[in-house]
Amino acid sequence: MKKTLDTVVLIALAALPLLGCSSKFGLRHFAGPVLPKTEQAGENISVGDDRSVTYKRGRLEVNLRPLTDEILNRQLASYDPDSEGFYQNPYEGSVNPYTYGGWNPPEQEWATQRFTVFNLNVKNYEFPKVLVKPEDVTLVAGNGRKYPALSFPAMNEYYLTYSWANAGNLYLNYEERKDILTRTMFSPENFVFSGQEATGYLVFPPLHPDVDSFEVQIADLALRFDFRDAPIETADISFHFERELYMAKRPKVVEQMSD
Amino acid sequence: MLSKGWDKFGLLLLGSALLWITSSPAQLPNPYRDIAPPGISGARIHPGAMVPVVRKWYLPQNLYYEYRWRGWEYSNYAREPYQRYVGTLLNGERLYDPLGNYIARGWEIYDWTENNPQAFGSTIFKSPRFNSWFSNVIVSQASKGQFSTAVTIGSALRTTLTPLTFSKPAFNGVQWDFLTDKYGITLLGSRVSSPGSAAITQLSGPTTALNSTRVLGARGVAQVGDFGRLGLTWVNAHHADNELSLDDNSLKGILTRPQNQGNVEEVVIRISDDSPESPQSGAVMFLERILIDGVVQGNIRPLIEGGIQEEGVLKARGTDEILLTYDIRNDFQPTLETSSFRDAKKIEFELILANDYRVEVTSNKQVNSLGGPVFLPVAQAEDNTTDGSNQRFLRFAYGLPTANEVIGVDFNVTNILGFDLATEYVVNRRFTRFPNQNWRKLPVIKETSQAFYLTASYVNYPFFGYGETFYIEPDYSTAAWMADGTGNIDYDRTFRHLFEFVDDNDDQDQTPDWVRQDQGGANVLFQELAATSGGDRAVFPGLDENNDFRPDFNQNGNIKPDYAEAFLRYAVDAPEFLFGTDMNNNTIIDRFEDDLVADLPYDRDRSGYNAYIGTALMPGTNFTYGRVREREISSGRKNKTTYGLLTSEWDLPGIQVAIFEYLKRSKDNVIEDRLLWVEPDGTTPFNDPLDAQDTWINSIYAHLKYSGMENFSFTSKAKYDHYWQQDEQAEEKDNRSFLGLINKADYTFYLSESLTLSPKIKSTFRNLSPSSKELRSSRDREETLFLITRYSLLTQTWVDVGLEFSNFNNLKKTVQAGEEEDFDSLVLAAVFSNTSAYVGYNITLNAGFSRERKKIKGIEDPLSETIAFMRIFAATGDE
Repeated sequence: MKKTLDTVVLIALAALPLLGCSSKFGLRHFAGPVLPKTEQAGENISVGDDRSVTYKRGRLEVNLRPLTDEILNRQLASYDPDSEGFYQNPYEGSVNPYTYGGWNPPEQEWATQRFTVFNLNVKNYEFPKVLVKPEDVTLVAGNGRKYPALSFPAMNEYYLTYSWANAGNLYLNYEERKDILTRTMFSPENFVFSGQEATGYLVFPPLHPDVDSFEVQIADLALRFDFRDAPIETADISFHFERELYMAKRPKVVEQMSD
Repeated sequence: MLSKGWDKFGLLLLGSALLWITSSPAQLPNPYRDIAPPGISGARIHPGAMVPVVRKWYLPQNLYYEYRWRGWEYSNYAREPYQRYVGTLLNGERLYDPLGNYIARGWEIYDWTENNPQAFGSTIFKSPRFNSWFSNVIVSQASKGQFSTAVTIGSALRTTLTPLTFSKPAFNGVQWDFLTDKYGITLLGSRVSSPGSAAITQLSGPTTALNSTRVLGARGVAQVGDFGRLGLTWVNAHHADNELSLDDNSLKGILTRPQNQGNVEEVVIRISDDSPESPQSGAVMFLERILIDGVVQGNIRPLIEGGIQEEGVLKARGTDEILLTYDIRNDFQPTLETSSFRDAKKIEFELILANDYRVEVTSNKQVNSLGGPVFLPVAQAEDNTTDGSNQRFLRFAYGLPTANEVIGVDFNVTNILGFDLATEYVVNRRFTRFPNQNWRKLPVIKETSQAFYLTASYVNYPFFGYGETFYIEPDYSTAAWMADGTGNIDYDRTFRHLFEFVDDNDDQDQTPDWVRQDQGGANVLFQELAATSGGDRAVFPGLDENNDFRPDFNQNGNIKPDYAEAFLRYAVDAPEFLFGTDMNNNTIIDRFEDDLVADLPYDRDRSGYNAYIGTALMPGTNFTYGRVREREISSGRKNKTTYGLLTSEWDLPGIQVAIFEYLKRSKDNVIEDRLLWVEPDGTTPFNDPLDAQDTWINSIYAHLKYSGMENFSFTSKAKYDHYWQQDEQAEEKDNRSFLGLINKADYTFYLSESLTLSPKIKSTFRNLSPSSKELRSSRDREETLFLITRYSLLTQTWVDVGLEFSNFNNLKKTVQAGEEEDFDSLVLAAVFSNTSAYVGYNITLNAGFSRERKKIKGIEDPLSETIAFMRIFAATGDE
């Protein structure tokens, strides 16, 4: 009798939270692809067909393009081995540092987003040299959330965990990821001299499910420098994006973008 | 003029003499030499060398065309300077396989040869290059189409077959893998008793062994249908003797020569209470007798020590034990079958026992290095019976361990409509043989035990469910005795003489937590260290999330935990504020538990099940309801727990809230002692207080973080644990509880481009009520103010100044052991920092001082401590 009472109490306590749940029970948050807002603030900013946004100042161009997981997987396809057969070697997984590769948890049919990634391209045919520092780039959501661009040490720390512990195979994967990050993240220290172009990825944490519009702010884009290379003329740029939010049991099928 | 003429004549004479000396014998030149790839062919006949002269040849005759050598050459280095000799083994030696096929010119890196019958016929050679060139791992790999194979030889291989059979972070041996699209096979081999280390030189001899202990293993996996995998696993460790033929050796093992020397002259049986912590029960012995070669030896009466004679039977309770010492040498009575105890082939014992007994045995052949007896287990009672209802007749034959074996079958199903299943069943067979130097190989004695588990899970959002059932017998063993190079076994030195199929590695790192010879990536250097602690001195499971091999509560590796260290304590909170599940009800969060037993998926000596169902009430909010039924087989102790777990997290712009609620109804008297990492002492034994024997347990944790205002952050944490003892337990124990509150806030002022100021405040409150009625509760509060400034002199040069004031109040009137008296402390610290590049490294300089002044209530003079320091750090990058 007492045993039954204990069980009833537990179940009753469990049922309490159910009162707070109603029509959204069983649904999950999903977001559509990141798209540039058609109305960008500032006359120097234009929107391209490839969902990118470009800031132009004379012959200086700063182009920002959101990258989906599908694009990132295609860009780094050689790092996502196609393992055949029944045995899935845990050491042979994708080392794409921006996505989970082709993997999704067995209990769901879609991949989980690991990061929010943009491709930043700077073409300088206007100034002697310009400098964009990724640490001065912030993603600011319409609801007030702020996401600073992730630095290389932060990404390194993210992938370091457990890489030393389980044989050398995981460490090899870690080194490979580090190498990809070094090659593909937007370099924080290099000037873009006249006639040069620089390109690389800006990485942010995955956006919260309540972020439907946001702007990527590049603060203090350095355009001119004094004799000590301290900037004396800078510009602040904002690129505006939006995405569709919805709750459903599974995500909508979206049109694939080309690379 | 005359002198010049004589000089010319002298030179002419000398030149003529040299020409005469170096001229070759008359012969017709024959330039032919065989042109063939390297191989074994023996010495050959060379027509070019067939010159019938008596004079000694100083150079090979057959290379005349190659080097145009004559019979003798004068050496003159006037024009062509002399060059030193080259090492003849610069490119190694020519190597051939056993069939005479040429392999290559190189070095023998690894050679494991078993030669039977041959004294010291077991040899393992590891070249010094195995270590220096290949870092103790060498791989031979091949693949074609779907077929792949690789042989891996290493001294520390991470090898896992199944959780119940074989899992080691540092296997020292050979692993041979095959894989196709549908099938996988793994073979293992190692001479574990002396796997050998890299030789000092290439010409050094191999490591030999007369008696050795070998481990052999095999696993095959096949895909069944689209979702299933069926596996078979076999692992065997056995003693071998290379002086015997391969047929005379056995996978059931044979006794090593030292094991088999002499005769069994004295046997001691120890009968004790299997649950000494519960003195109301104990072992009861009704009768005993000894049989030699199947004949009862009535004359051999044991010397009985210990125990209490009650109601005509002998009893052992608590720490008491009954010792039965059989003097076989002096009391043996010849029989028709056996004329002398030295001819005995089998010694058996019969016991009638009841209640909660444990039986162990030793003999004059089962000793440690000092000759002292070492008891090994024979049998133990199930449950903690007290009424004699489990009375049994126990008959066992005495023998010394020769082999251990596990044979298992496993089946896995992955994701059939959200359904997963994993199950494994393993039989453990342990072999012993009776030692007698007059017989090299007597019949084997076998004992078996079993282990089984099944786990199943189902996920179909928003619902999920999980179930597991398990049964692992108390004597299920994945440890095998192994001999040393001479064949001796000291049964007390487990670190030297036990080989573990499944290692203890609670922190899942490279090193097993215990010391086992040649199986931990390093040899045992200090016996004292090995005997008193594990091989891994840094085991803090769950407390190293950044994987830097330092506990997360002491990141700067000093003698103070970070939550008690000035300035650092703002960011780090004490471990009692952590929240997690405690399925075994020993009051420790499961993921932080450590032990020194093999990492089987479930504890040995356990049976039972656990099952739960749950649902996601909304994204970020999950509810789980489940129950555990677990039994310690040998003691009959049980864990009956029903639980509910609610986890809820809201991550709103500028504010994050988390609430975790864990409610349990437990009836758990299973003793779950563990090891625990405690700063700064390190690994510390932890005794289960058994606080959940009839108890409602609630643990609730709430966390709030506000960061909605620029440069401002506020964090609040609250944790409340409470144990409500029920019925009889309420009379024995108090309601244990813990209430902890932490509030902290900080704000950063950017006063100029180069000057920042960060005031911070942290408040901590703790109230702890122990379950022991003899201890009173403790309550304290601490308020700490911080003021941190940074002034940047240059981009890479700055000065930090910190001031910390702390006020601690013990809210109890008196101070008991483990508590602190009221105090005020003031800490001032200043650090000058500079970063720069130097010969390829990023150099960071820290120079400064800190001064702490602590005024403790009741002590007149304040304590003070001043530290001045200058430190340089070098890094290779910005990692």
